[in-house]
Amino acid sequence: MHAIKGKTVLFIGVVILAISPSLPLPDKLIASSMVVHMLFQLPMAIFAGVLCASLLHHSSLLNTQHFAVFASCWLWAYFSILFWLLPVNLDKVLVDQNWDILKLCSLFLAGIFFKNLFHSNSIIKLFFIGSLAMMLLFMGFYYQQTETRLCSGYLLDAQQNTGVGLTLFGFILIGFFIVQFRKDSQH
Amino acid sequence: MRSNQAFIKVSPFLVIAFWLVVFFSYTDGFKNFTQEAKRKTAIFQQQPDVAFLRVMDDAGNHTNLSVLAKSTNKTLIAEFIYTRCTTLCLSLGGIFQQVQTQILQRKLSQKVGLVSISFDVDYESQQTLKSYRNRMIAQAVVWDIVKMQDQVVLEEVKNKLGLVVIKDQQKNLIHNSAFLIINSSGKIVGIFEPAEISAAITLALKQTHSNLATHHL
Repeated sequence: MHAIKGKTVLFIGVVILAISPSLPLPDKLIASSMVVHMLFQLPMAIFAGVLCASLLHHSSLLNTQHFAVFASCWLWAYFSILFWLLPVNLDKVLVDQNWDILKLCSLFLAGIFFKNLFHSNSIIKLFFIGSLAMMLLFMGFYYQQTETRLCSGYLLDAQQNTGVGLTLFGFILIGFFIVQFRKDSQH
Repeated sequence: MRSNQAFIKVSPFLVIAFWLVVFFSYTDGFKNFTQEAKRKTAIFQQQPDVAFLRVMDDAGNHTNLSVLAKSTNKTLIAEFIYTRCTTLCLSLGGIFQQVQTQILQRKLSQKVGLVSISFDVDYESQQTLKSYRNRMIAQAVVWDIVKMQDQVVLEEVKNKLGLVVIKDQQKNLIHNSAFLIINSSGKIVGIFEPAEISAAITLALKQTHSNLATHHL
């Protein structure tokens, strides 16, 4: 019971952290910092979804052991993360409140599906983690290396700093991949 | 129960189809992955008239960009700036200074003009525009320094030309940068990145039917 209460408090806290950079207080934090937008808010929205899924672990959908469900979850999570890494969408979010809400909702959903993948077999799990890591590394290097401002709403140095962060996330995921691989092979 | 199973089986394909449609439609057929690219494509296709871009110059005269282009019978190269900017606008201004020198040297001032348009409507005044002119050593015969008339114009420019202006926490304005080519009929015929200034000049000169001058530049 205490564990559930703790998780609920954590969930609410993470939701607040995910939403707060989008609040006009008086200016949106995501408008002034690309790093906050991409390296803090987007992961927080996904993490909120993961926490929500662990609170809803009795849900029949989330406990389904069907390959098609895992594949759908993986595809949704992968495509929604990729979609919100595109510069055109980051710019759109800064000027359109509805687009911002859509971003938070789709990533929250991605987080819920992401959690579901941890019930899948090791091949699916490792495939997902590996492909996500590759995507982050590619986007990270691209954001770092290109000399063109990809986002109209952010300056070049902010873009490069974000690229460094995305690359770091990619390497962290690779580390996670190795840990999972070792754990699964021991089982 | 059976229909549920069938739905689950096709669900990965539905997710793929959904995201394909979203990506395809929002990137204009997997072509435009940045807002700038989308803006360029739209402007090249629509060639909008800039009569809505009402401005005030550093002498206090009110006009609009379309009238300015028609009355001077020049092709205009326009940029969006704000005069208290200490980053991007300075480099844009530097590029305009070089183009101004070229125009004066090649005696093209009757054919091609430059316009710096400030979007900082609340801050700018005749005085700030004048001081920007002095800082940039902008010659009146070539280079107009103007500000958008009011917030309504700014909103129209944002909607119609895709200008992005965002205030950050230090009250600086973050904005996108491009050179717009406005022909002597007051229509935008091209939009170029700062690095593509040569292409912008070439198009501007083509618009004046001065192919000879194009080779010189």
